[in-house]
Amino acid sequence: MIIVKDLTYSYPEADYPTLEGINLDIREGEFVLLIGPTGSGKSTFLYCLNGLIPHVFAGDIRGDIRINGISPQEITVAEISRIVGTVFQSPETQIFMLKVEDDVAFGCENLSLPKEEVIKRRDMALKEMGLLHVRNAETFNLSGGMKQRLAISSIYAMGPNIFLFDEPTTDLDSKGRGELLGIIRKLKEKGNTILLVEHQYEDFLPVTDRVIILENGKIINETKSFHSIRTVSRERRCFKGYSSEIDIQDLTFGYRKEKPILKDINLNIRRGELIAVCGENGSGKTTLLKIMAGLLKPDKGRFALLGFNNPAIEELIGRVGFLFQNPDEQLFANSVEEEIMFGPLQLKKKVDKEKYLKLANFNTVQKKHPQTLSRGQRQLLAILSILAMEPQVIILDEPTTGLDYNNLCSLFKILNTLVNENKTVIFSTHHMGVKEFADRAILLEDGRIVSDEIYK
Amino acid sequence: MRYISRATFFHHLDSRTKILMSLACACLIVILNTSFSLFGLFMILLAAFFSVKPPLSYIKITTYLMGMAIVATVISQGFFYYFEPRTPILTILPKDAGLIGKLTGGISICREGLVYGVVQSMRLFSATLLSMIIVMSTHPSDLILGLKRFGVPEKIGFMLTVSIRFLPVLAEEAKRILVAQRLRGLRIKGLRGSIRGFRFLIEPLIIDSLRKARRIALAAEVRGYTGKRTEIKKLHFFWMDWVVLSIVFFVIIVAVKNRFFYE
Amino acid sequence: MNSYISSIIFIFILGGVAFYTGVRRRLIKNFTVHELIVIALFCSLLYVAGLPFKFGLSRIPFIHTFAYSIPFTTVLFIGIRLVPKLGTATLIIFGHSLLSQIISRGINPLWWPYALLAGFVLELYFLLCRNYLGSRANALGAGILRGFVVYIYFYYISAPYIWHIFYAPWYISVQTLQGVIGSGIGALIGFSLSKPIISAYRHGGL
Repeated sequence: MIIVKDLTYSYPEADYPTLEGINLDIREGEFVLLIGPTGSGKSTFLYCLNGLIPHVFAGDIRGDIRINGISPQEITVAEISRIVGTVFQSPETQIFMLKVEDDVAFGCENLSLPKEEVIKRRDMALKEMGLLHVRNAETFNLSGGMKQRLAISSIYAMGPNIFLFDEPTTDLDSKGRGELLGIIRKLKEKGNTILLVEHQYEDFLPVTDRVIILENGKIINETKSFHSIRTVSRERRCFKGYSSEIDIQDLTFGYRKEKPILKDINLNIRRGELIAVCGENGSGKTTLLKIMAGLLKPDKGRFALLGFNNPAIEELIGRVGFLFQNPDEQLFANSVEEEIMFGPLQLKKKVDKEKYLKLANFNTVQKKHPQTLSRGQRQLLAILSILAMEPQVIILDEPTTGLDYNNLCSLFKILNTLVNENKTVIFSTHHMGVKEFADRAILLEDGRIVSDEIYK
Repeated sequence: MRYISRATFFHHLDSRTKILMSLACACLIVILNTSFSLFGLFMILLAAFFSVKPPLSYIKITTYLMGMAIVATVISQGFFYYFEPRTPILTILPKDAGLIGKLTGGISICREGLVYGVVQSMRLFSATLLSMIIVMSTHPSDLILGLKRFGVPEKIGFMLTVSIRFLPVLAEEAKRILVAQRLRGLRIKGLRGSIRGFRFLIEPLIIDSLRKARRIALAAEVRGYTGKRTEIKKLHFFWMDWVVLSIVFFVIIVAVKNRFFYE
Repeated sequence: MNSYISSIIFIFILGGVAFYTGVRRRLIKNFTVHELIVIALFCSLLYVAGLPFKFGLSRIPFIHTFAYSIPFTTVLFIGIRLVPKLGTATLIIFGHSLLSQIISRGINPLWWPYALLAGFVLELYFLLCRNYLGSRANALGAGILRGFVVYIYFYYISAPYIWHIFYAPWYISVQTLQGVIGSGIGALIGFSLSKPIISAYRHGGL
């Protein structure tokens, strides 16, 4: 039972409050979906409930929060963790131990429960979360979905009956999302109270009791059912070119020869196409994209790009742009404008900085350090920094990860601009509903192309 | 060099025994003085190494490391051995040749030095083999647990666990950043290139690590981490451990006696 | 002669252990969970920074010392600037040493005094200067001190008394000089790189 009255909170040194006048009652066993644009205060609200605010994050908190009658401000975070469990977005940074069963026991050990109790809870959590078969496995080798499951298990073992989820599906593919949905359903069936913050919330609507929309720190609308999914509008345009940009014939590739990841791929991509590559984790999407960017050499078969046969990276720099999954691994400079000009500077090319800043509305932030931007903005900046090198072919690995509605719109505006300039764009995605953006969607399963649909 | 799960004698030993064995062997490597005893130690460790059933790649790496060790030691001691008798067999720079000759006292290779180098490299071999044996047969979390039982504080043990847990994550990230650099046209060949490459590697890597550190800390907080916790993992001593420890203890006593009391 | 040296080592180890158990237990409470994790990740980062040197990529023996000192000191000093407290330097250096031992070199307590010495020397320097790498001069001094102490200890104590391997004084001077210059350069690079990192850290909600 969560009661929130007039909650107002500002981060230290902030000009305006992140949360303003929040009033909310959540009944026991309810499933509440919390949505809203990035920066609206959703994560901040969760932190007020689990005690991270004010114990870890300082700042000015006002108003009253009662969880089962107790205020999180009056007890320690460790004590609250017995009632309220929190699962964050990135599974990697929620796992501490080297072995699965040790990590599940970690939370209970921290509560200083007696040994037998810890062992009992650990075994129960392993069983209920379906991790018994991997209990002795190394945590490093688990898939994304399994890692998130492990993170949830370690919280579950601590015995809370309120669960907070902060964008837990962002780093997962659809298989992982499906598994997570199953676990969340199970938690709900056991009568736990669940508060879920998500951008990709369509899958969860069937189990949701209530949807709350947060914008600029205020609750703007509260409805019992919420069905419309605003889709990003798309201007359709016609193909301009028919010349073959990328030609792949009978391609096979594996990081180890005995274990091929891509098998007998045949693919022809024309100039000016916008292509979505879909598939589960492990289907070979990223590997295919890397081969197309010249980062990997095929074991068998032919690969031609822009007229080069089996090109090396050096031949493709400046002609092919590749965006990795994590934008933070590609930001090198100390200001936004420096970042955009970084690539052209290395290639000694002259480009119009303003043009690129305008594409993502970055004119107001051009002097800021890239790391001070939000995740979605850093993603867009990484894309711009590659586009500034004016490549002919642009390949993006999971560019939609972690983008809210507004940033997704910006992304597709940029991609449409590129395609209208007759550039070829290829991207991989887990995001459902996004493949309709593309002209063509390729589905990979177990290293083979199983479908190649053209939308016109 | 990673832990490999097998069922050998060393795998079954308690990690505390292995830590004590490490310490004992380390002492032996320092104390033993005759070529016979050093060679004996080397042979015993070689047998132990093979008993842990290393894969071919590890055998290759070990051979490479030992090869480098012996070459480096033989050459350096060939030059720098300064006990008498000293018979130079090749003089690079005589004693009185110019300023460098005077400062260094002449640079020459002597035969006794070469022989000495071969004998001393046994120590390096033993250390290399010992480290391989321990690393291959003991899981890092068991080693940390063993260290904690010996008195290393809990927070340090936690810190070590986190470092080991995230090391492969950071190493992979560093590799990806290097590729991203190349794709942005950054040329990292040559000295200047390496410096630039390093600078553009360190900054994003550290910033992303700080970001991870924040998230890991929040995850630790919501898991109730305060520094105090119940440990459910147990370490057991089997009879094999006692046998090994007694043998090791005995050997150390004999070595110390021979070295310090019979000279 | 030998017993004299053994006793020095013994005293040092004892002193180190006493310092370690006595002072550390109180000091460790001073670090928040977040700081401990930053330090832990810096131990891993030090290891990653040293990886190209492990597999013979730059193993030209003569300038190897110089080449390795630079990235090591750079990363170490950035870490110290991020958590400017008493004990950070020792925790990072010793943590890195234990980490390397656990995952590749094998537990060898004979190397612990070496790592602890490197840490203690820096702590003492910071205590005396009342300055945790707050200025470029302070950083340069710390770098030079670190390089000097570490290499002198290695060539005069570790090498002869642990490995029984001797080096001529001129060689030791050359290597130590390289170590000193390398650490100094690393310190300056670390200091300048840490500025944008720290400002991003403070203002970027990292």
